[in-house]
Amino acid sequence: MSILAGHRARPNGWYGMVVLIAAEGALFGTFIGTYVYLSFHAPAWPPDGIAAPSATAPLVLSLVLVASTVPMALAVRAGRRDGVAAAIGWVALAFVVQAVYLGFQIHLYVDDLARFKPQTDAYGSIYFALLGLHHVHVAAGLLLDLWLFLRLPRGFTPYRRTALSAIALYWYFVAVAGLAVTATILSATW
Amino acid sequence: MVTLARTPRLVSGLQWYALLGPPLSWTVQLVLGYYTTQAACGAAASRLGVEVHTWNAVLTVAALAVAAGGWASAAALHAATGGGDVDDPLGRIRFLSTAGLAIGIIFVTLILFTGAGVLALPECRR
Amino acid sequence: MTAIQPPAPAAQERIERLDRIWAERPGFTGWLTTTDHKRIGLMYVAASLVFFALGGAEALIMRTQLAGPGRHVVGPSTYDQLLTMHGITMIFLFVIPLSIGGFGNYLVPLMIGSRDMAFPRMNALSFWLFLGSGILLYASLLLHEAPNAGWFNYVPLASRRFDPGPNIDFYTLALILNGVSSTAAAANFLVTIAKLRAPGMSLNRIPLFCFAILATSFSLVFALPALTADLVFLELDRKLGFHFFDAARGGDPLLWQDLFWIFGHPEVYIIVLPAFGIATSIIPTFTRRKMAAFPLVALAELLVAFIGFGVWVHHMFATGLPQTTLIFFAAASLIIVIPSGIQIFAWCMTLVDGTPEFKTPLLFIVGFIIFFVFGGLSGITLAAVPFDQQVTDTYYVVAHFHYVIWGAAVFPVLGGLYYWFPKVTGRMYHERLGQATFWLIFAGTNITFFPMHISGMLGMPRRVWTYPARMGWGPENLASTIGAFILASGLVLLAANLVVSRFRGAPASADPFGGGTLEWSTSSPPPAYNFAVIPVVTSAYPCWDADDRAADARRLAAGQLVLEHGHETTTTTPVDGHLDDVLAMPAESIWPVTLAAVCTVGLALVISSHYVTALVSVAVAAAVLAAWHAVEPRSAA
Repeated sequence: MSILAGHRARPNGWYGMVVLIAAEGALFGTFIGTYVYLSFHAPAWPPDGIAAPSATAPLVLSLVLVASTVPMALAVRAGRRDGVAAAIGWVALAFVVQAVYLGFQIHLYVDDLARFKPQTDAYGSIYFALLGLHHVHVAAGLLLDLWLFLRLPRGFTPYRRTALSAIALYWYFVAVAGLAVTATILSATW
Repeated sequence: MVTLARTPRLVSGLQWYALLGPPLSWTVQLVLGYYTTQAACGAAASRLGVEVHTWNAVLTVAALAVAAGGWASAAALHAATGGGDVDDPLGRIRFLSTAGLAIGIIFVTLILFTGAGVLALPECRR
Repeated sequence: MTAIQPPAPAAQERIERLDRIWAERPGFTGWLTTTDHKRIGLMYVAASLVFFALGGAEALIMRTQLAGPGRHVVGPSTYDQLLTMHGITMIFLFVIPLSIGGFGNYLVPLMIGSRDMAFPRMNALSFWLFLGSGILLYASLLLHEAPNAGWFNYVPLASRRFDPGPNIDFYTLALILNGVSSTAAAANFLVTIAKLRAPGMSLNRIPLFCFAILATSFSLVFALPALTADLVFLELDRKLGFHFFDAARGGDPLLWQDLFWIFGHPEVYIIVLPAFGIATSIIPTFTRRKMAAFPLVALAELLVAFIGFGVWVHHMFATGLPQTTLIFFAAASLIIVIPSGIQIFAWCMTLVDGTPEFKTPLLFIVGFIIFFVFGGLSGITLAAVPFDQQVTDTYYVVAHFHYVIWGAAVFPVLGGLYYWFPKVTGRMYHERLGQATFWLIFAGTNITFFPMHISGMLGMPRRVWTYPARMGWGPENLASTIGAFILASGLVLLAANLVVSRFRGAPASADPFGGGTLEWSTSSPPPAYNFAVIPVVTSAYPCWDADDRAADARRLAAGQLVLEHGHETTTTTPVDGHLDDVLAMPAESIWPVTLAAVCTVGLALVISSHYVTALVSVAVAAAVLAAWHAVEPRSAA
């Protein structure tokens, strides 16, 4: 019997990643919703004694993370024509940018901790929890990249092509989530 | 109606709008409306300056428009499948447009119910 | 009834090849490494029934304690642990794993004409994670340090200040593990139902049970994150001194309630939706009529799930929120009656319009409809804010939710145990005893839970370990206790019927009841590969289309869509079900059970404050995941 539609639908693994993104997106949604809720119940936000975050570094870093999705997309495209070396190269570039991004974010996080603590006030609690949630997702993404470096050198199979497109999708989500988190954190300056 | 048969994209657009438009517009009305009551009646009220009735009047009208549009799409598709104007060999479009009719009615009702309730009550009475 | 034709010789050879390809290793190791959705489903059934017995024992102890005023069968702190564990067990360890993990796993691939779920190894992982979460929770009970702040665990009672021991940490971490299990299961069902259907099964031909599982899975994906966030915030407050719920430092105890019920209300629809699906499977079979208003019933299941996300504050009507906040949720709580009502009317119409045969499964469905109407009515009264504010936190609410959770969610499950028993075991249960147990359970349920409406309206609060005689609540409580033991005896008889029939029941054919969905087209029990040939469908009741099934048999002989050269199944396009691809499926693996064990141990280490070792277990988990994905399903050349 002929395959009537012939690979028109996306692979199962890609759909699985869509569901994971829906769940994690909802998780970010609840953290952001909590941030807004707590701010609506506070006479001052940030509370007196805590300075509002400065806008430059978070914005620049968020845009850097968005930019790193371009090499990921190019890697997926290379995967479609079985370009193993090109795909690995693009993923490596993305990985370096993502890792440097995370390094800077951790530095800022530690800096912030010196100025105020999550144990000071609910503002600190949600501030560090929300940022921490995103950084954990970036770290998980780096581990996914490492898996690609382990498996792709052996060549492309349908399984690995699906994995590459699913992991790229994950990074698009993390980049968008990063923009949402930055917008939320910086709303304290409005 | 005959033109619908020639545009599968329009059929698809109407179909998904009918299914998803009304529920999503109610969701926006609920989430934003809930937050307006928190903003207006919480400790940050003076800082935020949110007026519950104004915001919710706008939200209700907007949500109603989207939901009513969804119902109209479902009605158009339902009529088209009934009259054979749309290619529907599996019966899938008829099935989904039937569902869309019910969705439209239910969510228009819910949006009206909700809006009437919020607008009838004093802003921050507990 | 469509009997399975004995296969032609050419077909026989193909079947033997399929038997060899899909065979799993025997014995205990085979159960540890299985990825067969039917075996995983059976493990879910077995484990959840064990937890059911434990939750039932907790209930019987509580009912004994409450049978009369001023009793001291157990003390208050034990009572608190019993009532909390009863709620957690029944919801997270019994009804949801049984409905979704048990019935869902076993039936969905069969009903959609597939050979397995989309992610077989992740399916196994879901089971082992669920088992791990149950073991963690019951370990806490053995240590007499079980969660004790109620199943919804409100702060400040659950905060470090008022509950400093590990009780609540068991609660948060076990439920996070349970949530990961359920999310993985939901993802599996969503992708399976989207992609692995039989060719020809467009959206309008998906069985109603699968629509119910679809709705349940969507709910799980979007509801569980709210619980996860809540649990994470609570642990951060408890372990690291954060202030999410601390009013003195800018936090809010109501935040716990909001996030909990954003999860908790969809959760109760997650509990009941699979039961609706079971009811809509049983009714057409025993009335020999297709479900009335099929598109509206399918829609209603999805709508109940969706609108269920917008009612959560109705659990908080008495917390002092502004009326303009409450009204959003009162409106939605009333409107959600409409899709529920659509289903009730459709079921009743099908029953009235068809020729019903009141065998045991259908009796349980009739009982379910009655309980759902009663429970729905008390629910409507609770949607009215002024009335709710009178009876909130009383036994009236306990009556309402037991009518809907026990009466409406579990009755179809019990009926389903009878209905699919012949398919799963290849034997018939004892029909007369089945009917007798129905009446016993039906009577027991009413005697247990109806008086609670009254004691609630007389003012009896929830979660009290005893009450003084002068309140006058004695008679209702005594009636409830007697009812509980009648109910329990009915359940014991049900278990006896099924266990004995498993070994001594009359042999069952492939299709003893004349069902319309695809699981009835294969043998009882089904072979490991479900179908010797992938069926092609042209309606929502494929087993009532004799011509299509004859065409299947011809394709089996001709070797089309038999896929006997690899461990394979077909995929189709999501909306219209056009055949799309042939997919290699993963086979048995040791990694799912290993990963679940590592996660469970890791959380136990966190509870016992061994944080560094817990971090090591995270690294081990990552290594296990890498090993898992190193094994790729191989297509035949």
